Amino acid sequence: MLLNKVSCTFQQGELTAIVGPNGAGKSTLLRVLLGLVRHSGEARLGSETVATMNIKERARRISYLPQGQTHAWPLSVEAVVRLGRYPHGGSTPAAPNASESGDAVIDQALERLDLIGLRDRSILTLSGGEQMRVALARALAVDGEFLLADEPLASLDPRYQFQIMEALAADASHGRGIVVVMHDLALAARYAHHMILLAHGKVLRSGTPSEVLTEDAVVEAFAVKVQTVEVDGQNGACSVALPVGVA
Amino acid sequence: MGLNVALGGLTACLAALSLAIGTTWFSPDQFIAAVLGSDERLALILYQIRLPRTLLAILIGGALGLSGAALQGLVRNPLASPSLFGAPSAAALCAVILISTGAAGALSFMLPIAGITGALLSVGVLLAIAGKDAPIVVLLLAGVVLSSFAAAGTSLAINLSSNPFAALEVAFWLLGSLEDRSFQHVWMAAPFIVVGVLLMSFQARALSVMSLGEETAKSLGVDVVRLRILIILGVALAVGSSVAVAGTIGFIGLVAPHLVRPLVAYDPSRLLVPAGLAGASLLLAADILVRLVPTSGEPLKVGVVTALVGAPFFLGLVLRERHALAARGAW
Repeated sequence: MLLNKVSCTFQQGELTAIVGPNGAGKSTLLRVLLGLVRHSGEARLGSETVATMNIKERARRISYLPQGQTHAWPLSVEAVVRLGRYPHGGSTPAAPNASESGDAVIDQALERLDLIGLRDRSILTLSGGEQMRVALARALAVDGEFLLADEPLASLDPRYQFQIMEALAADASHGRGIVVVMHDLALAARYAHHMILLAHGKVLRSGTPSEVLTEDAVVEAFAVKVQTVEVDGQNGACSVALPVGVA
Repeated sequence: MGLNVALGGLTACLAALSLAIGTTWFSPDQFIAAVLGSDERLALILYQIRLPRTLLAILIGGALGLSGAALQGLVRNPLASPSLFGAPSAAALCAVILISTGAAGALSFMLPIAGITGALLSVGVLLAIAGKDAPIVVLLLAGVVLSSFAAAGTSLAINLSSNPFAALEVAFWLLGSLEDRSFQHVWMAAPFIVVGVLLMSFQARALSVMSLGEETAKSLGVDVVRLRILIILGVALAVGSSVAVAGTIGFIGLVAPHLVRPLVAYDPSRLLVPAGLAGASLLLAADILVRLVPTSGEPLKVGVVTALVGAPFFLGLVLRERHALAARGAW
């Protein structure tokens, strides 16, 4: 069993960071929220059970950015982002003008991730950081109520990490619910409104970054030495415990 | 759209050539006389011999090209094709068993059914393996094993056949040919091919989304299990019934999508129709070629020509993809 009696809620307009050691069940939690894995218990969106929702409707309301996105064909950046409109019907690379509101959403997604100049480039010729921006733009193009991203910062350099987090935080401020699985506690403390610390398939702490990243919680979850520092978070300055070495 | 018109035009030109070429070459005047029926002998040759042959080349070439494009989209790999999935060999095995046991004649509707069943089994097994995120190497190896097994089974059936002439007939038919086919063959294969092609065409958009990977496709609302089943069914219907009337014709399903892919910006959803038209053109061209090459005895079989051209093409493709294969271990 990967997750046990996990109960949590996510709000629209907030960025929620899910953190925890490897194997804590973070990715599994996202996949449960999407109804992609069989599970007991229930994931709800508003008053509806996700697992029994029509899959197209679920796809329109919750978008997902899985870990390690690979691309099979050298599609253009715009064509990839456009695939995010699939659950809305009509607009595909085959019928690019099928929906004008879809086009506006695509342009906006490209613009927010600074991809306008790259829109005609082949996805396979882009750097890792650029590919992640495209993947995120594709997820934004779904234009759902929630966006779940599984380690979008993996293998990105610091500049790109900030860029992706800025884009996600900005998107949350526009009203979407953002849920990000991530490892960098400092970045999480800085950008998250809300945090969930998972360990061994259970919720160890849930709340604001300063409520979650306490000295004992971080020590217990990660088995590390910590140091308490002040960070400039979404809810103003807060003090959090960050790892500095192996315990 | 322009591409489809161009490829459609090419197919039409080759079809006209295919109607005009044979033991008797038609001059433009004779061609018109044959079409209008003012010369009865020529009209007979045109409508009873060359038209079914040409229609079958278009149907079967189209079925193979479109099936190849659909399979490549589904498993996200340009090396996939009906032949590599063992579909034609398995279809041939089932058809041969039916003929060599005398359970059905060469014009029975049971033949396409047997071919479809064989293709369904092989593609189903292969995609069941692929479903567990198997790398393409595993798929290709499994395909080789399935093809060899089906080929061995076919040899066994010929081996055990009591009538040596029946065995000879089966062997020649297995080489893949469109010679001496009648409208009966067209009606035997056409309904299944049309249904198979439609099944696959309706999945075009989902195939585009599959290019992002199965997990992302699921999150975007693609029912991946259903998609896989529909593509298996479509390929089995189209390829199985093709093999039942023409024998095994290899490599069209691999080559056709590859040739037109850059022309549709690599989009799997836009690839299906052009790949079908390219397949039809390729098979028409190959079938014209076998009629032009002089031989002392039996005319060349079109399946032999497509394999002779297709195998080196496939090798070239493997060499080109070698770096990608090595770089992306997941392949």
